[in-house]
Amino acid sequence: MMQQYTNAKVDLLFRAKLQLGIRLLLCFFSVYAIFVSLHVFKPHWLSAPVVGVSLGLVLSVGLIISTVVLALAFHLLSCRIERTFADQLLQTVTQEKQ
Amino acid sequence: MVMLAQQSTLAVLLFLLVIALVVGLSCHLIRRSSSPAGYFVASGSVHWGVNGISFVGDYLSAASFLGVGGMIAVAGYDGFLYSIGFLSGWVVLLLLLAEPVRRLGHFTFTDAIDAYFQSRGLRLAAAISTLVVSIFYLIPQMVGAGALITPLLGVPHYVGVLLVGSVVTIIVATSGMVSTTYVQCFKGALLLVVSLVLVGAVLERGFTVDDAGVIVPVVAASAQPADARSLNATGVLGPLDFLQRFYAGDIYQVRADSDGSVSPDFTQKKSGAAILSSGGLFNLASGKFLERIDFISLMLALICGTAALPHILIRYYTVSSNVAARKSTIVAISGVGLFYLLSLFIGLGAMASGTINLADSNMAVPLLAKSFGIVFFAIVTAIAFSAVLGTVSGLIIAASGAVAHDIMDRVLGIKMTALEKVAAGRIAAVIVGCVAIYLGLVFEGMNVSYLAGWAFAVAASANLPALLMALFWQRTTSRGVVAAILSGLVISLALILLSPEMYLRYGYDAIQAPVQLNHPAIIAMPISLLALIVVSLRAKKAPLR
Repeated sequence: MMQQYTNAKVDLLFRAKLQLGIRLLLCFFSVYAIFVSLHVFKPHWLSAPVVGVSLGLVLSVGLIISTVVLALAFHLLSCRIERTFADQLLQTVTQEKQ
Repeated sequence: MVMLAQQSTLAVLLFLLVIALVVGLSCHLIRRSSSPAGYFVASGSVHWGVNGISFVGDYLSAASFLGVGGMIAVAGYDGFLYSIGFLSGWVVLLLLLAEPVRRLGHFTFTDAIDAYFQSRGLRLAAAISTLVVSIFYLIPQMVGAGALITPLLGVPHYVGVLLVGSVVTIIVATSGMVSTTYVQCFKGALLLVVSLVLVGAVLERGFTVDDAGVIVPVVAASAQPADARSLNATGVLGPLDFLQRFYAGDIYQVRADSDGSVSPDFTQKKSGAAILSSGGLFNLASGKFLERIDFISLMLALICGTAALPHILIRYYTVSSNVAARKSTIVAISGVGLFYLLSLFIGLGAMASGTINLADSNMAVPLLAKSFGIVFFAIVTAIAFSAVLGTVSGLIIAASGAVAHDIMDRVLGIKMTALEKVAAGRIAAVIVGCVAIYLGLVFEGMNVSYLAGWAFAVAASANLPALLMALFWQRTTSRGVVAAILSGLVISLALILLSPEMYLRYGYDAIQAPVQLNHPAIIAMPISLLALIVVSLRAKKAPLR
C-alpha cells in the first residue's frame, strides 16, 4: 500500500515537473521563433546599431545568457516542487502512523 | 603571415602526449568495463558534475571548436547563428527529456523509446536510426581530425583521419563508456580553459589598424605590408570595446598567396557592421523564398537535433538519479553557453588577425593560436584533437550499443553472456570506426559545422518526433513510432542526397539539384510526425500503453 502510494506520488512529481518544463519550453520556443523570424523577415532591423554593435548580435548574446538563466530557474523551481512533494509525503506518513 | 605547414616538435610531442594519456587511461580502466553496464554506461556511477563536464566534452566536438570559430572567421555573424541553434537544443533536452529518458532507459536511446512498447520492430528501427545518426555525426569529426593533423604533423589529410580513427577505436574497444567519460570530462574542462585563455590573448592583442583606421588582418603592427603603409596597434581591448570597434570600423579582406598563407588585400575592404550582420552565409535580405525556408529549416534542425542525438542521450544513463541527470544538464548548458560566447571572440579575432585558411575554414582557430606562438598552437591543437577524440568515442559507444544491445540481443535474440555482449560491443566499435574513417576521407574539405547541421537534421527528423510522442502521447503505438523513425530517416537522407551541396560534391551544378534545399528538417520532421499520428490512430487494437 505504502509502495503504491509512493509510486503515485512519484508520478505526480514527474507530472508537475513536466508541466513546468512544458510551460518554460513554450516561453523559450516563442523567443527562439521570434529570433528566427526577425532574421527571415526583417534582417535589416537586426543590422541596426544597439550599444555600439548590431541588434542581431545583442539578441544572440542575450539568447545565450537567457538559456543559462532559464536552465537555472528550471532547476530551482524543480527543487521547490520536489521539496513540496517530500514534505507532503512525510506529512502523510506521519499521519498514517498516528 | 601564418604558414600552414610549419611543424613544431613541441606540437608533435603534445599531440603524442594526448594520445598516450587517453590510450593509457583506457587500458587502465579496462577492468571497470567488463560488464555490459560498465562498458555501455559506466555502471551509472558517474558524478553529476563529472557528467556535466563530460556532456560539454561530448558535445563540443570538432564542429563546435573548429567549425563555429572557423565559420565566424570566414562568414562573420551568420557563423554565430549556428551556435545559437546548437545551444538552444539543450533547453529541449533539459525541460522535456532529461528525467524521462534517465527514468526509462538502461543502455541505449532505444531503451527509452521502447520502454512502453517492448516491440522488436521498434527496437530495430531505433537502432538503425542510432547507427545512421551516429555515423552522420562522425563525418564532421573525422574531417576535422584530418584538417588538424595536416598542419600539425605535415602529413596528408588521410593520415590524420586514419590516425584519429585508430586511436578512438582503441579507446572505445578497450574500456567503453568509463574511459570515454573521463576523456570527455578532461577534454571539456581543457576546452573551456583554453578558449578563455585564447579570448584573453585576442583581447590583449586588439587590432592592427592603418592610418585610415581600417583593421588590417595581420597578426602584428610590426608586419610591414607591401605598400609600406604604417600600421598601429589598438592595444588591449575589453570584450564590449572589441565588438564595438569591430562594428564601427572597416576591415581589409584577405587573399590567398601561392605558399598557402593569406595576406591583406588593400584593394578590398568590408565594413564591420556588415560582418556583424546577417548575410555572410544566408542571403536572407534577398527575400528569396527558398533561402528563407532553408534558414528556418537549419535553425529547426539545430534546436531539435540536440535532443535527439543518441550519444548525448545515453550519457543520462551514466548518472545515478534523475536529479543528477538534471544537474548535469545545467552544468552542460552553462559550459556550452560559455564556450559559444567565447567562440564569437575567437572567430572575430581570427578574422581580424588574418589567420584564415581560405581553402579550409576549419583551420581558423588553430591558426589563430599559432599566431600567438608555437606553444599555444601546440596546446590548442592537442585540445582540438582531444575534442575530436571525446566526441568520436561517444558516438562509437552509442553505435556499438545499438548493434550489440539493441540489434543482437533484443531484436535477433542472440543469447550472450555478459562478457560476450561486451565483446560484441567492442567488435561493433571497430567496424563503426572503420566506416567513420572511410567517410572522413570522402568528405574532406567541407566545413564541419555545416556537416554537423546534416547530422542534426537527420536526428531531428528521425528521432525527436518519435521520442517525444512515445514518451508523452498516450495514443502512440509501436507501429506509429516505427513509421515516424523510418519516414524521418528516409526522407531526410533522400533530401540531403538530392541537395544542391551534394550535387556540387557529385560534380554537377547546384542549380541542377531537384530539391533546392540544403537542410531537410522542415520537410522531414513534419512528415515524420504526421506518419506517427496517422499510423497510431489507424491502429485497430488499443495501444499497448
